[in-house]
Amino acid sequence: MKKRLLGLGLALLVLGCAPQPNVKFVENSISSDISVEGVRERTKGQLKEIEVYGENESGDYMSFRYRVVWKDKDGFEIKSMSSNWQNFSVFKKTPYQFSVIAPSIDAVEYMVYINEPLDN
Amino acid sequence: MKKIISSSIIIATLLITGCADKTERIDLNHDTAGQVMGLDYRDFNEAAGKMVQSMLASGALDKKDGDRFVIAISDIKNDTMQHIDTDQLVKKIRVDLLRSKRAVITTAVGSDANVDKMNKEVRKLNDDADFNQRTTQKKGQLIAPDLSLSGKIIQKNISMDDGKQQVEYYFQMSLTELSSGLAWWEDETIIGKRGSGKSVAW
Repeated sequence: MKKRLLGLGLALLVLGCAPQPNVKFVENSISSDISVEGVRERTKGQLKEIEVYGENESGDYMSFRYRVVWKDKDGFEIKSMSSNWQNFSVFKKTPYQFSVIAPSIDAVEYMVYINEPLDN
Repeated sequence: MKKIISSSIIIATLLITGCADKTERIDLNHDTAGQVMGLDYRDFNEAAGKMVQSMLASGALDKKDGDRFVIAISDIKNDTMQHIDTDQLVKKIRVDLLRSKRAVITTAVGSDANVDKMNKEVRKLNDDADFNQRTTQKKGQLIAPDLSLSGKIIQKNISMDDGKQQVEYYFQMSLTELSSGLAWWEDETIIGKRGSGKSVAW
């Protein structure tokens, strides 16, 4: 019983660090500034489109970067320019969203990475 | 005396080579180097990536039967003060469009830089007795394009009151449906840079 509770507690801790199953913060330090409330999905033509939405919870105008890694049904990565880092900025205490369309009709899985901006 | 001179030369050489900056490879995934006033690979990656995303999301490449459109690459004009090979932009777009499986690119027609002259050359072999005629490319097999991709890169330099210089780059692209001449998709990406007035952006 104790083991089960410990396992549940650990699972909750891990889930607590990850904003969404398909979204990951590269630097955990940004998790106090930005929240990810969810990821919408739809199919456009034959391509999957996702929209990540959340809020800049800090009291400052902030810049971030994101990239999306797409994979095919066999788990192989599909290289494309949508896997390059893209900048986005949000005003303080304001919601944000960014959408990305799959680079190929073969793309079925994805992982969104959110990171601090580069200092250049 | 000779020994002293040769020793001095060796020490001087070692000092010079020891102090010289090392050449480094750029980490394309994490390039922390400062920005330049001109256009570099980061700008072309950003502009091309946004254009492909916009084109795919627009639905202009959704063919009813799930088939793929054939795109010809028309003129991409460089209207900047820099010597830019516009293939730096176009090649990235072509590669991603092919990978998307929503379009194929023809090299049979298009602007000079985007045509493979071999498409025409091999057809001259049809009348050449030296070639096995069963292996030559037959007439009427080339596929005509459905769409044409064209564009322009524009540069605008602005002197600011504080002596700094602002350079604006406009990447503009259109996708034209060739049977009707109507533009099915258009977009513009702006990249702006601000720096020293002494910096030269050409």
